[in-house]
Amino acid sequence: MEWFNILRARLRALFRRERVLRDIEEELRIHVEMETETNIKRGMAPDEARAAALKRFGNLSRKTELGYDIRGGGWLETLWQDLRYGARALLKRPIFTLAIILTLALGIGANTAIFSVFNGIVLKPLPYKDPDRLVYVWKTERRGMAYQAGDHSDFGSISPGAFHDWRERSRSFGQMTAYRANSTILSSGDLTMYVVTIRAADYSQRSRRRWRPRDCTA
Amino acid sequence: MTQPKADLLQGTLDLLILKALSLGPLHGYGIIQRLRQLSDELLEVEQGSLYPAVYRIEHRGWINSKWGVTETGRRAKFYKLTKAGSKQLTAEEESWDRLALAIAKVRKAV
Repeated sequence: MEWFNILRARLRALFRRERVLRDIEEELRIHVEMETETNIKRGMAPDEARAAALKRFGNLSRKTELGYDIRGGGWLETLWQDLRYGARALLKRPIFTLAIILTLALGIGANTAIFSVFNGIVLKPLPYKDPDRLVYVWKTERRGMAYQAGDHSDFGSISPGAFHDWRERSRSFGQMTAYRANSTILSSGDLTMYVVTIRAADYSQRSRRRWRPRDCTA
Repeated sequence: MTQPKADLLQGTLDLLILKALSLGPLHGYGIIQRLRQLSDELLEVEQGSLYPAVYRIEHRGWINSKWGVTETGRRAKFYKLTKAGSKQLTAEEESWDRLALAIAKVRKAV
């Protein structure tokens, strides 16, 4: 409960600083007045009585500050002052501020974009059963044997016959399938679409998945 | 006023304030007066250091405050012991008694 009481007091002081200060001031002033009266009753002259009371109490404004340290806005007030100071300083230099905002926006945007891709490709498991056991098998071409001009990829395609042999003879894989991907550009009027189709060969199940076409207007 | 005063041990001010208020609500000046009376004029709480301690205790929820009017018709802020404060007072009194007993035993050792 203590932290709640303190937070409530700090918040109150934040919006009613003057009121809290006046409350403390008044309380301390009354204290000094009571002491003054006691001194007068003991036989002192009023001036002397008040001076003695003040001396005994110590510096009133200093004590008020001490009280405000506890009852006031504390760190919350400091934070609020810092925020206001920061806002004022930024408003005074709009170009500098704009540059900062743009830098941050671009930085955060780029980070988000890169992370989305990284998350999709690396972090998120593939939407299949046992994704950690999925492997990609391919044939490597001997150097200079690429059968298609400009195809220097190591991920060589295989013939249906070779795939059949792999499937029948290999003992390391639970299941094996081959796929063939085609990309086509469809156009109709002023709408042009790039369409990728993938056909997977599986003896038990023929599946055909169509990637979401990307629209592009040309 | 030539009588020597007892020095206030650190941490005992809270206990004294709670004890003074356990006998009934008081304003700040009244707390000092009551402690002076109860200690047969031996204890004189420093006036300036009373209020920070009182505010801290109020934050802890052991006392609460309300502006009111004194018997002489003067406006003053009165402090009152809460239920939690009364529990705290018991705990601090027990802890103080243990400490006093321990120190007495050590002092009497031969």
